[in-house]
Amino acid sequence: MNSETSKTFESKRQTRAELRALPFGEKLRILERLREDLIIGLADQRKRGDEPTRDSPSTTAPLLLDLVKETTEHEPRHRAESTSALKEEIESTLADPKRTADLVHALFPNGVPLAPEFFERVNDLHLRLGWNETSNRLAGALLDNTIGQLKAENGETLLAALPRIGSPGFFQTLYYLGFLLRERELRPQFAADWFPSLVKRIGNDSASGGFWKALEAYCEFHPQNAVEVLRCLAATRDEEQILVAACVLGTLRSLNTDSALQRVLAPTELEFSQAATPGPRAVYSRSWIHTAWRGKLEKADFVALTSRISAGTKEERDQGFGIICRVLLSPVISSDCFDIGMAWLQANVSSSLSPASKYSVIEFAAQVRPPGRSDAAALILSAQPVLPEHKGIWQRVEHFLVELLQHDFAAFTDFLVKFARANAANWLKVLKTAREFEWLLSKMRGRDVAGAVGQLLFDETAQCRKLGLFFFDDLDLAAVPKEVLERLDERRLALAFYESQRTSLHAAANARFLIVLIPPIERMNSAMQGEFYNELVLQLKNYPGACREEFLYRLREFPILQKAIAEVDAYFEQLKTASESGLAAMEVAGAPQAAKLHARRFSRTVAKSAEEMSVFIKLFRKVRLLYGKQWSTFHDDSLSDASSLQQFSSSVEMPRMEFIDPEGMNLRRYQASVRIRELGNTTE
Amino acid sequence: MSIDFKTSFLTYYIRGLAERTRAEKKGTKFGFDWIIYNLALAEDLIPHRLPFFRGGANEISKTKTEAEFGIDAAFVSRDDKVLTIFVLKDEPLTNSTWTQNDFDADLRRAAAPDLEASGLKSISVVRVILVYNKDEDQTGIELFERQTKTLGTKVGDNVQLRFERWNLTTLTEEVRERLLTPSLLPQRFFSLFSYLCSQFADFRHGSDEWTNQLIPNWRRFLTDLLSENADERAVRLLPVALLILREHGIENPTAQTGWIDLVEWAMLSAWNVHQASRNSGVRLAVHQMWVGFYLAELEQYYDGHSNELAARDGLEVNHAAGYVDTVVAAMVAFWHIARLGILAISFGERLPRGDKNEMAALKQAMRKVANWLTALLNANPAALRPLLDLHHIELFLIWRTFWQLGRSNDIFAWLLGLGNCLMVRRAGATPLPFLEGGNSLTSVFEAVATEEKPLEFCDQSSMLLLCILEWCFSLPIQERDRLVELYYKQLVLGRDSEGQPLGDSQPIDLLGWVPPEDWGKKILIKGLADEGESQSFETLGPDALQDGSTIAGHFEKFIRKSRSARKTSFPEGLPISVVVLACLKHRSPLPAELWRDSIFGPVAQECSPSR
Repeated sequence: MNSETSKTFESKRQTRAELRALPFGEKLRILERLREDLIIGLADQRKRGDEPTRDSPSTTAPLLLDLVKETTEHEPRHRAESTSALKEEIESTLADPKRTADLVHALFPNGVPLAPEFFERVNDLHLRLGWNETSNRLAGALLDNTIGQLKAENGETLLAALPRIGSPGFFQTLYYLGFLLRERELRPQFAADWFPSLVKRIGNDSASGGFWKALEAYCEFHPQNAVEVLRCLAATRDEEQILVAACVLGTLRSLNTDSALQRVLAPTELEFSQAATPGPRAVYSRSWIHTAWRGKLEKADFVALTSRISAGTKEERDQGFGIICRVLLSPVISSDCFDIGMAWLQANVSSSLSPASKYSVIEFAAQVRPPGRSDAAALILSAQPVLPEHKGIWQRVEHFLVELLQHDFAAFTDFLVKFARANAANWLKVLKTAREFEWLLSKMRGRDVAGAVGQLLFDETAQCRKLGLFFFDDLDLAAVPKEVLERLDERRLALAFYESQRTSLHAAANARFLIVLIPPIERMNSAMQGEFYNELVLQLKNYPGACREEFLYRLREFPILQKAIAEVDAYFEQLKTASESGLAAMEVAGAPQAAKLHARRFSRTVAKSAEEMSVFIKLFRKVRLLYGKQWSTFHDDSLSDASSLQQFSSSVEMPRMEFIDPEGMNLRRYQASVRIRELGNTTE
Repeated sequence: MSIDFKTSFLTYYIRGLAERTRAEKKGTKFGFDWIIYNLALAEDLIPHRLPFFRGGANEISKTKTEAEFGIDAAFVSRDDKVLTIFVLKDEPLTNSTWTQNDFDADLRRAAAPDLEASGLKSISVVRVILVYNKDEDQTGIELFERQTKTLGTKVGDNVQLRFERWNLTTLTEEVRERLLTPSLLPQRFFSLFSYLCSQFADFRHGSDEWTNQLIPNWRRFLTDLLSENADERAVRLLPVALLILREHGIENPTAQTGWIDLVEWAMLSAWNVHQASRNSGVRLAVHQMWVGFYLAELEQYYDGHSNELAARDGLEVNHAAGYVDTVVAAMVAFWHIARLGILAISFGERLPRGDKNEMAALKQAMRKVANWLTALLNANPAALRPLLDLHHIELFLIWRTFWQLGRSNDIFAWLLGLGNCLMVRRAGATPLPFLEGGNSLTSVFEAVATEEKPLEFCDQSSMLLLCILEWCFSLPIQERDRLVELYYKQLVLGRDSEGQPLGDSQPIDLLGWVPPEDWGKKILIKGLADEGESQSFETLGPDALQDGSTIAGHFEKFIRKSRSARKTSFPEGLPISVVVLACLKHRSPLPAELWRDSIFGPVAQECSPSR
């Protein structure tokens, strides 16, 4: 070996050693530069060689190339013109892989980055093309073509970058992923890792339809490869892997393919079905959801599945509710299977279910259409109680109630009462939370729900009565059907009366409820009548505005109101005299400062509540204006027209006795509780 | 205040004045020459001859030593036509004083003025007014009449001569009609007192300005007036000053209660003079002021407002400040309770031993005030809302008002209601905090306004609860045991009626307080909260909590030990009502002996509660 050779050898050895020592990422970048030099160099050579015989892309697809240029130069997006011409250009590009490759080159003149930037640029072009099937296909074709051009490992590196894209770009990519998966098989081990990573990235987002369709397409177009993927997931434990494997297994099972596939699939399926660990068993069970949704669930299979779930561990039973419910929601399920599933749910749904199972059951029940609604209602009742913190479940309950109210009012009122009796306390807590059940309450307003509410008002249990009072107040009810009042016994009436004493109601509602009680109270003993009269007087003192107004409105019907008003008028007259006497005119040092502190805290609380209650305040950023009487906003390079400031105000009558005699009002509530207990209400 | 009252205190004051103001070794001797000077000014007369050199705002006018020739002061009318000559005498007009004290000689000289003097040449009428700030007898009047007739009706040929005689009543009337202004006071107080009058007119009673400006100024005035060696005249000046102040507060809607507040500070200063003085005149003046001025004023005030006191929620405060208003209402209610209580117990301690009619009248008055108090308690929830530990003073007054009439049922009903209301707060069922042991109203306000108790808020210790437990011993045993059990188990230990802890509440430490030995000398001047000895009553163990009787037994032992270990003696000559007022104004806890002596009898006897 001469000295030159040994020098070269030594230099290469050193370079190799240095390269070995580099971090993996750095190695990838060097490799990428080498690949670009090579590919671009070859492409340049090809271009030079082809030039005389081939149309330049700029002449064959001018619109498309303009959009690509705008994309690479990061120009602002604007609506694509000549849609039909553009579509034509896209179709012809799709028909010619070479032109697609050219387009990739035009989009990435400096080479394809094996990083999220690739997808971001494709997505940018995708948006410029307009959101439609053609543009989806082109974006998919660009991805497919790029993967095809890259070495296998580089292709996987690029795909592995997909979960790192931010939202909404990631979800945009899922829409054209199917094109790639239909066209191209992936290395099974890579796919077994990659698909779950995409599921993980999707998380709880509901915009995952594109992915699952793509995965099903992959199974349909590359079933043998999909079986390999499934095998790779045989020891699965992660939730994402389970979801992917269940989809693959359920889809493969439903394929009407040759027996060769079934021969390969059967042992794998058996392996999952009989696995010792819960992960693969869950894959097997869940796979039936996909089979059912593809219309391939047989009665015998479903019976076997329900038996398997019933015999499973507690965890599997919990998951089983989700599986059965999802299966039953399949639009192509047979009526036999539906009946089997429904019967199983009716036999197994109970209050002890886990929140997740309850969610599955109630979500399913909320989607059941007649004639199965009464069964669905029974399922919801069986799953009670649902705790207030499980807001998702309550949303499904609300959905069910609204559906019922709109389509079967009689069933709605019946269910309202039953549901209240099943879970009144928790429902009331949810109803009292800001912005909860607004949809249902808005639908209930103006409907004749007084009968149902009346039943709740005079119910045996305290929580139902409280719920009844809530509805009475919130729905601005003014009456309860006569038949409800007529069949009341003294005890029930007294219970409702004392319940109202210890429940906080708005002034007008409080007055209206007392007016409702007047006729039945007149049938009661004199002691109770005396207590009732005192309550009328107290509430008139408590709410001299709204309560008095309601009483005045019904004055002619009920002379007792006249008497109470006269008594309270005398009270206020005396109060006026006392106030003018100067007896309480003195000030107390420190009170003005405390009043300021109180006002500040009060206004903070009001502002916070307003923010919690208002959809609009949540949507927009709040800007505190410092000067001026008008405002305008600079946004997207333009200044809006000036708007005038608007003033909004609302007022609420505070219960004055709560501030004059807070101890007395508390003791009154305590006394009411004692009376309720004495009346033998065991549910206290 | 009635005209009679006003007149009588003005009379007291004017009668005590000397002829001329002068500084003496014992202190300044106030004279009514200053009053005459100001009356003349009020009548728009121009001074011609004054008995003093007028000084600056804060100086005493210096008396002239020149011969006066019978004329103490002379004034000319604006039109220069009338010359008014005052002949002043601080003696009664009698046969013996007529010549002895120069009534005769001075009138003669005054009737012959030198009208050739500069400024008197246009005079057509000469008025000679004999003013004496004492009474007279018939002979004295006859001597005056005879003399004036002898002196004729003319000076020279053309000038008319007229005589007038102002005795104490006339002078008082003149003052009441025309001179209820700061000018009535001796000149050296004019500046500060004028300022006080304007503050009284402007500041609302109880406001920050009232508390931080007017009250310190008023107390400074009182200190100036009643400094060492204060004589009867100085004491007599106090009601006059207060009457003048009152005239200035007509437009102030809080003047009535505010004025009572000022009277109370004045009374404490006066009682302080009383305790230091052996002068019977001074002591009598203080007594008269206490009974005839302060207590009479209180009685008259509540007589006029008894209907409003009984009006349901009549003490309600509505400034739209939420529970801040609730706190203010309680403070207002407790203010009235204190005054009614002082009035009631003052009637009690004045009960004479012999005169049946007077005794019946006083008993009637005691019942009247007790009924006012009952009406207030029944009509106003705020009256059952003590906020500070020091509110034990007002609660004591309620107890004492009922106790001195033997109204056990009222005491029981009141304590039961109070216990229930306190229980609501102890349980945290309202935003109102429990009793503030540090007696800081600021902390209470902060706790209510922010719904967060400040760090310094102290509700772990209470003297008030111990006081209530001790008052329970004034009731029949059955009621006593019921209340002791309720208060101890529920309020002190913080448990509900079923014995379960109220949230995370901890037992409250009960504290007794024994004043320092010399408390009687100090209490009229300052608060004693930082002096004396605190006695902690350890929380009872489960064995001691069987029932009210067992718990009461422990308290009885504690009281006996406490009394024998630290004896409290009461200052001689100081009524209990004054002691309570002093504790109230100086924010000082009450010595427990105030009720222990009544309930358990004198210490030496070691007896059971007397019922």
